[in-house]
Amino acid sequence: MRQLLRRLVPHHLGGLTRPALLGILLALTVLVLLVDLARPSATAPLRRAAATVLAPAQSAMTGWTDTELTDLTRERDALDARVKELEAQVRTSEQLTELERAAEGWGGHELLPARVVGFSSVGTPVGGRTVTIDAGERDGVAVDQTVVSSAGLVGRVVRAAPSSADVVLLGGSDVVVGVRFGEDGALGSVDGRAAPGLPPRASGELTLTSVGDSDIAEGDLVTTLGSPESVPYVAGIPLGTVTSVDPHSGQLGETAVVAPFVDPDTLDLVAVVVLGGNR
Amino acid sequence: MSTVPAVLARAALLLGAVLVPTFFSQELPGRPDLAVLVVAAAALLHGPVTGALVGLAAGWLVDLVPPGGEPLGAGGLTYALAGALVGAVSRWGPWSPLVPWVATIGGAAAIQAVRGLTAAAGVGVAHPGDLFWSVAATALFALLLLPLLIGVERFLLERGWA
Repeated sequence: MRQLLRRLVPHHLGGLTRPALLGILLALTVLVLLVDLARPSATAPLRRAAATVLAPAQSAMTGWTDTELTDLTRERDALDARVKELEAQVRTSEQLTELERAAEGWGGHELLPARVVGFSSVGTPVGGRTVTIDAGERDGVAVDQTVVSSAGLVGRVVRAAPSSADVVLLGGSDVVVGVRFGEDGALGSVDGRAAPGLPPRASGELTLTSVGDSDIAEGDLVTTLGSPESVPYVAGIPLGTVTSVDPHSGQLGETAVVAPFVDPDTLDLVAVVVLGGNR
Repeated sequence: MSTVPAVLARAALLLGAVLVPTFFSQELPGRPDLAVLVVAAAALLHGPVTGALVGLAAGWLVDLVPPGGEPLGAGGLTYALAGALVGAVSRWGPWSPLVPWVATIGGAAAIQAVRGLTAAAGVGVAHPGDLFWSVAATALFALLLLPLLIGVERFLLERGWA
């Protein structure tokens, strides 16, 4: 056995000492790191290949629960009911406030159900919250589509592979969402990272910054403002509620703490908003 | 002496360690980092160079298994650092049976420290509480899994496969 293995090992590798091998591999890694920083599109095929190979394994591992089918059906029905409720809500708010959200409410778009099959590792050097879902390009998922759950806004698609897609969650790095808050629909933005000088936030809490001079009140509902052409965020999706307003500390807009409706740790069934799906 | 069985065994363990956390993502306050345990087991028996090599492989897997990490390659360098650290401490192993466990926690803490530092530098978001709980969860899992992983490494070593 040992002799057979000895014959299988390439001889030129045997001549290389381990420190030399480590040096070469570290240098290559640094090179890839620099290329990825300078031009992320150059390393995209590598990620895509890994996603294509590993996504089936991930989705098989997630599916190992006995009550999967009943759970999925129940969740789908709950999601459906919630969507109808929200559609009605959007319609009412359109009539009430006559804001420019009539055209881009999310009721008119198709919802593609998907399951979360992978969470970002706790060991990645750059912190952030990303998940993998089991729907990909084959199902119509594309980069910058909105992802929702029965509770509210989840995030947006950042990478799509043939049978899986990566979703960056609310509160992740560099995720800033334009929002409306309060009864009048005042404008603001929600950020995962609090600006310097603000009180420290608990894990998972978001920061709302008012754009104008409108006051934020505790208990205000925060919904997405929507982006042009609904990319990356569709308008009118509930995002969270204001739990406390920060004291004024000289900053331009008023700020407040927002508790998101979606708990990133227990995400399971989500839906991708496929734009113009069944219009 | 062939190292192929050891490389294959560690590759399988690492792949498992990176894929399995999908199961228990919901119950604990912090999620454990299982990949660092495989790295630590190899580093404790073979020293810093092998530790860094296995760490490099682990970091690449962490970066590539969806949803992965950014930028590509940063995970490899961080885990290589952790592997080298644990390997460097392994020479004090005879002092106490706790040394491997403490060294592994040190490796896990180094990875979380990098995460905290990048967040403090304005790249990414990492809450200090989350970092702490992640190290705590890793320490707990190390109690259960590290003896098993070291057993695997010892088995490979005795067969002359590592």
